[in-house]
Amino acid sequence: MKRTVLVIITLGWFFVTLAGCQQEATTAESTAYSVETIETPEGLSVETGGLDFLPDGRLVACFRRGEVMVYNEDTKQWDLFAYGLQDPLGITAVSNHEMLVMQRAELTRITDTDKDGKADLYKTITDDFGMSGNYHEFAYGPEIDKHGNYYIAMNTASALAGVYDIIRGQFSPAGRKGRMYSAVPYRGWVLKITPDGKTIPWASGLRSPNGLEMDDEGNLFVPDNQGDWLGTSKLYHIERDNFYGHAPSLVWEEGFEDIEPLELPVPVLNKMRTKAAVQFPHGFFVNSPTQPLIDRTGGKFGPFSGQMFIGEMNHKRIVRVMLEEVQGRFQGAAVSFIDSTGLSIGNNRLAFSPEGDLWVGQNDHGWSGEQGIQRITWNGIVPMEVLNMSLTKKGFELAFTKPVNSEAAENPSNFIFERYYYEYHQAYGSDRYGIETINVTDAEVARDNKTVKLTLEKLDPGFIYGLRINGLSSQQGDTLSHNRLFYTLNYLKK
Amino acid sequence: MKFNKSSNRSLALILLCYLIFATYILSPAIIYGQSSSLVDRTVELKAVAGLKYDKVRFMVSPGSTVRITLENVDEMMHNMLIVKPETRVSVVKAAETMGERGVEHDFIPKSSNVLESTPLLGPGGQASILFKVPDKETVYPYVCTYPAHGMVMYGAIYATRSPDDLPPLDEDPNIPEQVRNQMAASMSLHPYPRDMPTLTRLFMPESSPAAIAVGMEKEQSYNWDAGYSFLRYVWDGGYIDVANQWDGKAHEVAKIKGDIYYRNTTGFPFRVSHQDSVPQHEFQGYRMIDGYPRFKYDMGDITVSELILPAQTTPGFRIEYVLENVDQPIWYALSDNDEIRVEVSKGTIEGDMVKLTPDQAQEFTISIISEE
Repeated sequence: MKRTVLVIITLGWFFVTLAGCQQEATTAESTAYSVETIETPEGLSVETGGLDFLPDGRLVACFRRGEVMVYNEDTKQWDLFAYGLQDPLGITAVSNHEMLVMQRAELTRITDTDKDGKADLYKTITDDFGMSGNYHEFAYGPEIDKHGNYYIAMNTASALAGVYDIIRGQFSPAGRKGRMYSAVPYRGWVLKITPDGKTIPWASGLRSPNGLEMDDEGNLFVPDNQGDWLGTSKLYHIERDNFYGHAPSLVWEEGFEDIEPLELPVPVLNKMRTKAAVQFPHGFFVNSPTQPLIDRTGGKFGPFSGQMFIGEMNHKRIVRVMLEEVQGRFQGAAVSFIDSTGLSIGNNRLAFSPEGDLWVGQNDHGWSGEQGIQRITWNGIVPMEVLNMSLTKKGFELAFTKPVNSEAAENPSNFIFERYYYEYHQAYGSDRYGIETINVTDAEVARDNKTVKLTLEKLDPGFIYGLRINGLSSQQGDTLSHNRLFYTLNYLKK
Repeated sequence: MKFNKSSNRSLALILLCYLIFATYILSPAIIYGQSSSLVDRTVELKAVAGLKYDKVRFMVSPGSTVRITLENVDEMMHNMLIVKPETRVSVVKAAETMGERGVEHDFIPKSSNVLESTPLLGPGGQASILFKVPDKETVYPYVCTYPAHGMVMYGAIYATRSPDDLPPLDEDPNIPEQVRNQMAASMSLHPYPRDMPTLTRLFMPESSPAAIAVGMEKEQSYNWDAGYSFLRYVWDGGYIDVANQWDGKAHEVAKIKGDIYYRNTTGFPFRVSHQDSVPQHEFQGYRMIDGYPRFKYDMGDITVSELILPAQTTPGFRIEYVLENVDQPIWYALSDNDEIRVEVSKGTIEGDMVKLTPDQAQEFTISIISEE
């Protein structure tokens, strides 16, 4: 009986796999990258909160029930490094024996001082933020700048649950209001912690900032999730003292002691806020963006070196972001990087291995998602993709990974733009407004056939420009893998 | 702890079999319901990969007759001997001395301790034996005596009339330690056995959300609130039930398994310099000392280390304090609990306070014993 059961399970899995392969065979996506599921230890609830690589090349991961485990890919062996942590949602390896872990309650330096493979010292770096007991008060990070400062981000609480009788930190009745709320300090903030442990409230107005990433110039990027005050999900460039739009966190802003943020007129809040560098259209593209991660593999992971990947919870998708500075501010485009090829949903955490593979830690955590760890490997084949989308004075320039079939690329009707915007308001989410098809009046292919300049009949700030590319392939006939791009136009090129 | 693919698979097998076993075989109606036929019941055993039987224990009725079938689904050779209580190790050793002539005798030593045996089975082989269970209630080991197998590949036949009195599987000394640990792991919701002492940071009742639940030996547990840097309460009889909290989004606090016999009623217990001056305090973390956390927190210039251990007699515990940088008198507020005996290693008790000189405060112990 037992054997039969196992055989059925195996066959079932085989058919699923087979079906997946057949489906993938029709897309160009599957040949450039492959996805492999990593076996995890029995008894582990693989709700991945953090991934990183140790200097010795092993993977370290933390999980919702408090484990920190180290995985040796050569031996396929998992070892327990630390346990008992409170809902850890971020890990950074300092050395082979020391990790920084963001727990619900604190940022902790965890050290194996006697080097027996097990942590023995748990040192609190900061716990200078409040906890109301609301389940939604997650904590994310740390991201570390070149001076050794730590950046962490505090999720707001959910109106679907209350607060405890005994809380940590000051309680704000005004902050308690709203759908997602900030009843204790510094819910909805990014905090900076100096190397000597001083905690500085850095930026406010965030809702669910599930991941932080700093580029090599020290620019900090944080995503946020569609909901109240967020018409759609976003990626922010976080700068000191900025307010990003989710109102309740303003109760912890200096000088706002007697102000009820939710009573402020929306146009005032709108004027105060810093707009997102990138907006991810909700539903059909992204529902819940997670950790951003810049490709620093120097080409080991394919042609997207220097660009940013972002996980997505509800789609079998990882998003690629192309940023540029226009009028001194970041804005840019998003496109699907991978959305089949065997990837799960619940893509919560990303990390590049020293070999240049992208490891993905999945999570569900009581929401829709999935558990597990997967590895995406580049097979050395350059996929036919839009390598970069950038704004010009008259429209957009598209750079491709390979020379394009110029006949198709010269035809403006193969580039279909639709622009729209999401409303900034207290309500949950937003419809798309101002939907308008924008004609491409000219498509000019460069001499090397790798870039195409598009002239648009209308180019205005304040819109997402959604582009659908039809019928385009490389000169060798490879079809474009991902033909839908979304450029967030906040500022025009001067 | 080490983990690899084969042990995962084996554990899955064991769990699956245990499920089948628990559903069909543990049912008292099946065990005791049939007594008229020659064979009271049949138990199916399998030798599986990883030097294991698929069942690590089963129950029989004293005086009944049981048919036991063995199927070898492993790739190695296995047999199965039922031996007299407490004789497994000596039978295994006797079999090992048989050397190269062991195979022709199926590694069954000539010993009165061997009650029943199957021949040595190759892969796919099957055998069946009848076991006439003596009237006495006891535990009969069954074991594979193929060389190097017998120390891990065994199980227990419980001849008992009280099926409810079996020890929990993860605490049963009659089953292999490896299986016991794996069972414990699957029941503890972690990829490792929940041995005491242990520590879990999660939402706890009557606490700030920065609680640290510590399970100690002797079934003593406590909640140390890192949000306020003091011991909240101590209980006796078990650790915590985390199912509610870890099932979904952590809406629910964990449940305490056992009875709270000590509660902090004073808040942060230290006073510095004056009897009523509560110092500012800041949690700094903890160091694991033989599995127990030694908490560290600052109060002004003073650094406190606090290690809580189970007392010699339980319910009870002691707190070992070490204070660095003390140059003022210290008062320590005692909590108000019924049926509790408090002992302090140093200082003098004045009302509900312990008064310590700077010298005494450098190292002292508070012991709290339940007198219920």
